[in-house]
Amino acid sequence: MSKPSDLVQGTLDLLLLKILALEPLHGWAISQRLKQVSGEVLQVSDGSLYPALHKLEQEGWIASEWKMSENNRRAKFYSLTRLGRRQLDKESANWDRLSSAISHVIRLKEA
Amino acid sequence: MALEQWLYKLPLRLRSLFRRRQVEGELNEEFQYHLARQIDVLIAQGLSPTQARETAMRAMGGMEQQQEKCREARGMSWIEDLVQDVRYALRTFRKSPALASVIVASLALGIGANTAIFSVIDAVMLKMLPVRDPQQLVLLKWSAPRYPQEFVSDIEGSGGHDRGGLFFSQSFSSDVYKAIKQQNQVFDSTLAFAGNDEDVNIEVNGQAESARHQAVSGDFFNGLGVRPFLGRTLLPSDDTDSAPPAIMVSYAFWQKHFGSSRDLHGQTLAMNGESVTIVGVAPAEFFGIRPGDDMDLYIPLSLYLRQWNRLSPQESLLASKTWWLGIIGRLKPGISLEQAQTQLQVILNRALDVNAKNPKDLVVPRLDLLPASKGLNALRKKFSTSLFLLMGMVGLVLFIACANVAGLLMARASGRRKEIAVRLGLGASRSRIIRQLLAESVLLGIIGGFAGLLVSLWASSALVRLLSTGRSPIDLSVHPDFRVLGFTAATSILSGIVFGLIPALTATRVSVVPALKESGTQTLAAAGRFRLGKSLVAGQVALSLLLLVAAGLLLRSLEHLQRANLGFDQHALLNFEVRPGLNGYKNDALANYYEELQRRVQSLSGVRNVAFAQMGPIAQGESSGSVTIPGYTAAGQQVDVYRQIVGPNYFQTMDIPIVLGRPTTQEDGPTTPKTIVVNETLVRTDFHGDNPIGKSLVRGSKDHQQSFEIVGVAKDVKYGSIRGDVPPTIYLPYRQWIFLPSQMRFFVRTDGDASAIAASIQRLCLALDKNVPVVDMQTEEDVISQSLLLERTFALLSSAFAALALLLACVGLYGTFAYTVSQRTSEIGVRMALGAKRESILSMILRETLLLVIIGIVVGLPIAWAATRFLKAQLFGLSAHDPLTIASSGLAILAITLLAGYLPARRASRVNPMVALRCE
Repeated sequence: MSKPSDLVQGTLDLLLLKILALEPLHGWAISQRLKQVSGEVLQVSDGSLYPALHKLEQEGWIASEWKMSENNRRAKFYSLTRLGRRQLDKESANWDRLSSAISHVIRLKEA
Repeated sequence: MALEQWLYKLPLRLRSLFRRRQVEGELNEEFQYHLARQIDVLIAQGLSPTQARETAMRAMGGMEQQQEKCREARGMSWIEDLVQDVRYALRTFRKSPALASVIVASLALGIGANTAIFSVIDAVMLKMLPVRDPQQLVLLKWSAPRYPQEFVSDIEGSGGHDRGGLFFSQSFSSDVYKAIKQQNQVFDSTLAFAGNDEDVNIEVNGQAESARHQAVSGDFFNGLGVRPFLGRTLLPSDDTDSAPPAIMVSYAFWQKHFGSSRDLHGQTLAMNGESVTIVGVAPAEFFGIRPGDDMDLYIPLSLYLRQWNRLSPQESLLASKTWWLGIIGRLKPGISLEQAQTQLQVILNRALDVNAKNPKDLVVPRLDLLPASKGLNALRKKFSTSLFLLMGMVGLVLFIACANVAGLLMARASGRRKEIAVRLGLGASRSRIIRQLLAESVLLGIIGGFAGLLVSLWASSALVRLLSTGRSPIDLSVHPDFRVLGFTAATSILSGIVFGLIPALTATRVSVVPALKESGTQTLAAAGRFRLGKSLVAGQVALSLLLLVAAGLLLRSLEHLQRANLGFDQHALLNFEVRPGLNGYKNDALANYYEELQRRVQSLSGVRNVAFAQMGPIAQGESSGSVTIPGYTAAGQQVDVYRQIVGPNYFQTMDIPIVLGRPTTQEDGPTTPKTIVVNETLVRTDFHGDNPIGKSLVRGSKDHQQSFEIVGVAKDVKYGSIRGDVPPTIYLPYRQWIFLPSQMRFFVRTDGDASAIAASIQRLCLALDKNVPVVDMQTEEDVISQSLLLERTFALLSSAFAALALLLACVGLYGTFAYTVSQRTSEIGVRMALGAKRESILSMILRETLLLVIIGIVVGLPIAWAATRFLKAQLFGLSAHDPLTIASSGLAILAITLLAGYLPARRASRVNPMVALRCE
């Protein structure tokens, strides 16, 4: 439960990039958004979100900025960078290829 | 892409490295914000504030761990760990300062010795000539199966037989130089310099002294790309017969005589009585073309020729068979050494007109190009073997020091087993603990390295001073450059890893539970674990033995050299040189000067005999030539003989017995028949033992022959060096030689203390002619001892290194046994309680020490046996497997190490059984 092991390896990165592509968000909001959009199917513990975000920031795919949040407290907002946009495109394409290949295999009729 | 990524990455990494506190604060704030929001939500869902906090914390999944993962994600945690490790290591050192200082001192000595030897190697072997693109420079050299007498009659400069028996030289004739300069298409510039560089008498600012000078072609400095410090360089226009005499001086010479003056205008000095103008000063870093052999004056070849003709008009340097010029070329870009060699050989053959000669038995010099980027290799050749051998020795010393430190650290690491077990039990990874232990040892290595650098600064200048006492000072600048610093840094860090890795690996191979259960002092199991430490000690003993044997062999060689029979009596013999020829004395006036001085010195009280000769028998030069012996040498064949030009009374003064016939005397003058004395070796090799008296030797070419009648046979005397075998030697009366030497070395046999009479001789010479200085007054024993300088330094250094190695090995032995004894206190207590006597405990521990040392010796002996063959060329009068040396080294190491082992053994025997058992 504490590790995103039930997510396909590397998909957390893709999800985070995609969520941030829509709008800059802070960590808590990202966790809410994750639960919301995946309909609670994808379980990501609140804690393991942050190492992932920090890793993406170190890669230069997302950037962070301290801003006032909707409840008027200082919060760290993450946004997608140009590099991150490119990475998102690449990973989405990969994902499409992979998922369509897997669906293809799964739909094979048993003899 | 990669670049753009780094634009994002770099500021972040730097920030997490240098603004650590801020980054940490932000990390915390980010998590706190999340918690606060989550708690709000949960309270809104109806939980109590306490419940809400607990739930939110749980959802985080361990806030500390997640934050640690964030830190790891930043990728800088290893540096933070490192800082932590270093802090921790420093704290450990402070807790056991004695151990830390022993370790640092061992390393400082080991690394310092290595750096010192390396910096001398760096200065002699690795430094490039301070000129433009030195890697393009090549030096011309030729070799032939034998002396090519068809083309060469005299060689000025280096020449001789190499190990393969080939005759080689780096000198060429004027004609060959001209041909190569004009016809080659492989060099951008072709530069020449005189192969010989005799001293000149100079008078500068009213002071008479002697200076070293190098004659060079006019384009020499421009070709090398050397810019003057002051004024201008020599130019081709200076190197013509009609040019006014112009010279360049070295920076050091300028500083010495003209201080910091930057005004060159019209500065002159007198060189061998001729007034010359200083047109430029060479830059400070330009040391000439031979590293370590600095020149004072640089003069054009034309000036050199003019002075040569004035002083020895009998022999022209321009003769086609006189080879006297060294040649340096700057290769054109894209030309390989082979291409250049091929083309130059063609030019050489054409210049020598090889095709016109009878090809039968013709020996043609074969050209060779040597890279000259590091200058000419005289000094390098002289020192390189010794330096590399020394480097090997100090390498071993450092190795021993590392083994030593590893042993000490290992002993301590076993004492820290519990601490390590606790940390492993608390979840530290093994690699993390190894990293921490390594940080400790590398830190020790670095501290040792810094201390070693200080040691080396002192040691390398001491080494250069040691090597440069004597007649030819070696001016090496051994400043640590980036190569030396890099070497030290690499050595320190590497040795830190080497001596740290083994203890770190063994210390962390701990099974947690048993280690924690062990009581404070340990049992026999600990001693078993320490076997590695003991083998390290045995290894140190083995390597120390090797160094000890090497040092012993070198010391005994030196002793043999010092006691070698030279063939003359070197005791109570004073010698000095005068050069009246440079002051204008000629012919009879010159001879009169020599004989008058001889008479006057003879009349001094305390003087038994006086004689003079062109040079001393040992270490004051050599000269040789080819002669034919009618009735003994085949037609067209010649033999090499070494010559000594001597004045009257020479044999009597030097105590050289005449075994047959008579010595040469004053009667053998310019008008009487030419006579010589030969040595026994010449009789043995060239006369096959026949009585040579009355037979003759013939010197010179067909149209210019001189025949000398043999009137006496002298006992063999060493020639040039103590080491070499006595060559066939001839002694010629000085008035019958083709020219009268412009300088002579006087030998004064005194009754008592030779040096006491030196002042009276000085006064006599000044009274005879105050303008002729006495040069180089010293006792013959000093001359000989200086000629052994290299051998003595080498023996001294290797002894010092061997002593250092032995000391380190003893420290290692002591440390190891002191440690095992302390670990076995309770065992010893039990033994004593059961009735063991103190003596039996003492002998038990000593037996173990002895066993270890003997294992070390048994391992070391074959290594020493195999390794000493590298010393073969350095030895004199004994074999590389000299049994006496090997045996005494073994015994010495046994005695000294047992002494080191006795202290812990005695402590073991003093254990109080009650105390020992109670500390369980």
